[in-house]
Amino acid sequence: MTYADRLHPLTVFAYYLAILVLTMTATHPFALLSLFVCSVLLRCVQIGLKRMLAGVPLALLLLLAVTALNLFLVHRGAKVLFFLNGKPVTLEAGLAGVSSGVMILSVILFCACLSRSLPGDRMISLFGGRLPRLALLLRMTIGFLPRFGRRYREITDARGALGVARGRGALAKLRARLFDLSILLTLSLEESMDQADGMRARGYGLPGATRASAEPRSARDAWLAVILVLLLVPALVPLFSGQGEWNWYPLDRSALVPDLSLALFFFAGTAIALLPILLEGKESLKWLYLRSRI
Amino acid sequence: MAILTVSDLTFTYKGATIPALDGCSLSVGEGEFLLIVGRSGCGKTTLLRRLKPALAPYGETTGSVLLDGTELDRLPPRDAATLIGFVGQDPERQTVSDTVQSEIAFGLESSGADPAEISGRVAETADFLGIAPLASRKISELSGGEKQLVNLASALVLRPRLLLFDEPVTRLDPPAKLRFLSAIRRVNEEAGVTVILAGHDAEELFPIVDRVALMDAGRIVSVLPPRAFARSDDPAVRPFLPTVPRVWTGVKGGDEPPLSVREGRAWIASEYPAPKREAAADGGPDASALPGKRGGDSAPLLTANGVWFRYGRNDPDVAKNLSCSLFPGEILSVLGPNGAGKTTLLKLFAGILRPVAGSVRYDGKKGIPKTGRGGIAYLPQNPALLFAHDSVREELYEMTAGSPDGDEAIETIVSRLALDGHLDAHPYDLSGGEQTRLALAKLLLLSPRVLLLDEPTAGLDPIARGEVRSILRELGANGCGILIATHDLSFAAEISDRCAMFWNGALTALSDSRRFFSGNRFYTTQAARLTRDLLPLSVTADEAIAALQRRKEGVE
Repeated sequence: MTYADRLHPLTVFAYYLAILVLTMTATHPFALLSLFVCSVLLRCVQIGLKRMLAGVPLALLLLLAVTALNLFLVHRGAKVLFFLNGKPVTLEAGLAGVSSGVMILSVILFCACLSRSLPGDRMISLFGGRLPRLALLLRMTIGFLPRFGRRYREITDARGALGVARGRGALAKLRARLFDLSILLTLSLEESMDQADGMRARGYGLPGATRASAEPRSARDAWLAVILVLLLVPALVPLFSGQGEWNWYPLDRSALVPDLSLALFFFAGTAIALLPILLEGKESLKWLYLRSRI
Repeated sequence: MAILTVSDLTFTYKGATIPALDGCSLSVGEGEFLLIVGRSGCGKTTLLRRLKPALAPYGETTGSVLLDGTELDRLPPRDAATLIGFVGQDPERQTVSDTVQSEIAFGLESSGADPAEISGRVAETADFLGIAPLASRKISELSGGEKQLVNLASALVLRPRLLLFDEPVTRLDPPAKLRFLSAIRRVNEEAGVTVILAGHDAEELFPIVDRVALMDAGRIVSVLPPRAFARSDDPAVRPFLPTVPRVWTGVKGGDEPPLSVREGRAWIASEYPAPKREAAADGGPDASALPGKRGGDSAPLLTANGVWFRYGRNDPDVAKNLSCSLFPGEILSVLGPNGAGKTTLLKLFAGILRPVAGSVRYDGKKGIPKTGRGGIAYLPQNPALLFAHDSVREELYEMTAGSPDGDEAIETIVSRLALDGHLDAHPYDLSGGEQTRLALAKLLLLSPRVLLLDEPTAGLDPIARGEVRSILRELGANGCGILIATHDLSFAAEISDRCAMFWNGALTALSDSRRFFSGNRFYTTQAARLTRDLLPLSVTADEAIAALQRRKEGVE
């Protein structure tokens, strides 16, 4: 049993909602980088380094795809690297692409953490009664993320053994990988549809649903909520004040040096992101202590 | 008294022109056990889903379905959810919760049962199905058979009056299959729940069902008790008969067709008693009748030499000092329980996995070459993994891109695998059997020398199985080496030159197929069980029929 299992699902959900909003609105490269590192750390604590490493190729592929898209579709920026079909390909577009890729990866990792900390059952118990459709949608979206890696492997293996998936040249290889991704999405969607059928078949969404057991509710939830709000306020200041907004086109290097509001964002945001790692870490230390007393 | 009355039900999928159900009429009595057989794609699944309001497909419906006198669509949603239970084919995809007990409780919670009552009802149901020890386990850690029992429990806990099963045991290995089917039988006999099951598992079900319905092209062709079904003269019925009555029909036996192995043995013992002198000679395998290993003298295509394999440094060994060879023109079947490592063996041979120790050789050279063309082709258990395009035609063109006589090759394959009518269909809209055929077509366009097939008959109807069988035989005759991982024992018996069991990380009991099946008492075919000690060695229905005919002539 992890720390999150003993919290009320609303606390856990509110936490991840906050961290996801922070990640999706952060623009400064330092903020993005620190949130990314935190997401990697948290996922590592949850599933271990070995399984994290297994996901690296897929992550790199995604990063590469996002960067390439931005690089070839956006032609703004001052530092031109080369011309493609008469259109400039710029350094700024590349860097912006990398930063969006890192942001997307962090969001995926935090979502995967959420699905681990708040498994489908608890997600349903949180929303199922009042908002069955939202609960189902959240469950479907977040639920299949952890399965992505394994499923992707199966597909590349099978298509690779088929021979056709291996073209010559980088472009053909990228094409083949994109096909694999499209199979992955279709299969996962099919699976989610079947799962939704399984739920509807058993009366999901009927008014007046009950719960077999009550969710835990303790003072811990209240304390965490207070801490979360206290940290969120400074973290959200730059979002609403517009200060410290990062701009890739044109690139302004002086903005790399953070001002006060950005520093606040940076520290508060990182503190929020590190919160579960600290709590789970405390838990592990307690275990070690208890074991040493036996 | 009829609990379910289907009258003149016609259903057309949205956007389709041909109705999927075409005037189906059916009446099912309270407490009855009805088996629906038919080719895949004939409308079995559509009919079952139409009987469960929450799963009803989109489209146009005429006719009526009455549950206990009430029009199905007018049933209050709560009753529609609880009174009719549905268990589908894929054990993985139906579960919605994380642990067994919350999974079973899910329906009760959704339908608003009294919280005080829920755990009691979950406990009672889990106990009845013998899965109480699994209660706090995670669903993802269960075997397929266990998952399917949990799915049954989740439907049963709602106290349904009608349970619908759509090919529930297709993905299970033989022991899990028997366990699940006997659970259904208990639910039907002891709890009195009406059961409608669509599937291709006639062998195990004929002795226990009340009636058998045959569907064809959206119509219900006949609904008969199993013995009357076996007696039927209709040629359309024949392929769907299980081994024992098929042998009976094959030799035009007495008045009462036997259904179970026990009845069949009693029938053979009384009608075809063994002449005294023959008995001793019949005991062992008949060496002269053993099919020779085709091309047995030639060099092996694929060899594994002392292969060890595990998935991670600290994981258990899946392959332990495994050695075997596959010869050109040979069909080798590897049997064994799910999770034993059959798929791992295929992946090692396909070059997807590499041995930790030992070596895999192809054509005498170490290692597996990368490309599939003219080499090794691998069919994964889920054929959908191979489909990347929006139509069957594009799937096939993908394989021949750039080759000059591609169109011709596609044409030949399409007609040989009976895919003509589906060229514009989306691969995901095909039935299970059609998907297997499409995947096989893709592989065959590579003109491979070795085929590695993972459960190629899962979900195939008897006719499609026959088609796959003849295609594989033909490929074998042309020198293709075929390695099949399967738990379909009768298919393995019909097609293989050699069989082996995957056990404890290696292939054991590797021998020619007839010796394999006649040597086993339990892990063997219905035909072998039916004829053991009574007739000369017969491991398939056709062999048993031939043996009986020989004896008849000998006696007369």
